[in-house]
Amino acid sequence: MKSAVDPGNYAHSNQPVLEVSGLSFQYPDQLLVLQKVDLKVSMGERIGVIGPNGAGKTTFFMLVCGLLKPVAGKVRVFDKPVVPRDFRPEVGMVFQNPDDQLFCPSVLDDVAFGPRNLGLSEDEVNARVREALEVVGVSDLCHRQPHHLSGGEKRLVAIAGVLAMHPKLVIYDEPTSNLDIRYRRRLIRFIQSSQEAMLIASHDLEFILEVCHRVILMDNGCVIAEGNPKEIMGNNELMEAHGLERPHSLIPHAELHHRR
Amino acid sequence: MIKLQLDAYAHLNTILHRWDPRYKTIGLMALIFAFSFVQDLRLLPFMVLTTWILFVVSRLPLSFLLDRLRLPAYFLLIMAVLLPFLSGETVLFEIGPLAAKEEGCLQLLVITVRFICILTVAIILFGTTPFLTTIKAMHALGLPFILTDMAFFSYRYLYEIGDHLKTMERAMKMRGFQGRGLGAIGMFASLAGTILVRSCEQSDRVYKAMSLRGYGRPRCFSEEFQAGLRDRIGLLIVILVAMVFAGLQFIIR
Repeated sequence: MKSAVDPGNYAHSNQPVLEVSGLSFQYPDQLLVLQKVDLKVSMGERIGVIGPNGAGKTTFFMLVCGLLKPVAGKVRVFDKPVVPRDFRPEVGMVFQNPDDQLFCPSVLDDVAFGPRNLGLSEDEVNARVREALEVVGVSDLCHRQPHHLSGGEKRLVAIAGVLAMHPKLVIYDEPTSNLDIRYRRRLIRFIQSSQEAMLIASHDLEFILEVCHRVILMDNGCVIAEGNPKEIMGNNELMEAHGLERPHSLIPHAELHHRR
Repeated sequence: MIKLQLDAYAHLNTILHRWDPRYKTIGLMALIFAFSFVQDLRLLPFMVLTTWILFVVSRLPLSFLLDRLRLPAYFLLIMAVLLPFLSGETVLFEIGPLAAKEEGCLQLLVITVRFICILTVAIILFGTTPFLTTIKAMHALGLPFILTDMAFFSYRYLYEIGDHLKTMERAMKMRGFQGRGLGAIGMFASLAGTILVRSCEQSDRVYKAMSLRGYGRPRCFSEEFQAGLRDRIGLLIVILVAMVFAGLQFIIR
């Protein structure tokens, strides 16, 4: 069994990569979806975002990326305010469904999409594409058509497409969904070896335990708890009160809970 | 099943495949326009001959061409049924109360030959170049990127929609839906509506993903096409042929 991530084991810098303060959001004619969320993420830090469906995790990510405009509060990335619709290449997001971000006829074209939009020369684009594909380990897929790939391959190619832009903060929305065990393990190893700061939303709590330094628990648009993944997720009462349950690896095995 | 993929044989190696995509687009589009002007029956054999030569040179399989002509042919069928009976005065033959006229039949012949030749040349244009390359060539020729992107994404996501449709049909069959009778029409309408809504929502998500990767900012395109003397000669020849057709039609008229 893999051990949980050491909370202190990441490069720490004085300047936070991401600063969110008092962030609130509401869709037109609806109740508040996000209420006064505060968060700071440092360089290289990996934050797990857990919570039941409808907690506001994806909406939170959309606000951090500038795809939605908050009704209150601020989001700053590298001390610059995030302006809605403004392009910030230092923030990348891997969507829950990789089909939503694989839209070019070949893997090569898809990974090159972001660097080309940055206005880089063709040589620089090619170099970034090669590097991103190698880092993720999918160089052999470069001439394949994305819609012919397996779920795991699509996920890795989607990650390569984001990494080619050299982001400093990467947001993952349910990255292990629809992945088989092999690709899940591959993704875990990849994330553990990455240097970027990350926000990772997932219902796969064992995955969060393995890769994240810190966890925030969200429910009804609020941050309910924040801290060490083992402590937060090991608190059975807290987890069950918010539609979750303690990961199996955190259940003390002195308790007889198997019927066999 | 209606086949949609246009560039399945774009990997072949013929003069047409190697022709610079920009010049090929201009040349073959000029030929298509010239064909569309042709009204005189005497020019039809030459049109057919030109088209046949291009088709043979392209080495595209006949089955590929026929598959792609099938859907548009349904529209031609409607014309074929109506035109001989509605247009003209000289009666050729009668079927009950309906009289087929000579002028209508000749018009149908012109329309049919033009239709087949134009579509064949268009299929040759798109069939001998990867679709994305054709789109890039159109952009290089001055078509605004918003239009080329719309063309590209429409083509790309037709397959996605097709896959969704197949999955949903399978799910319906597994729950006993036979697809027969008047009651099925409502179901198919619901299916179409669901596909539309899902496509709309997906396109919104895709656009967000594209925006996050810089889409919409001014782009600098590197010129990736390099035409040689052969490409220019090819263009000249095809443009001359197109001018001959248009010119002859103009003179004959």
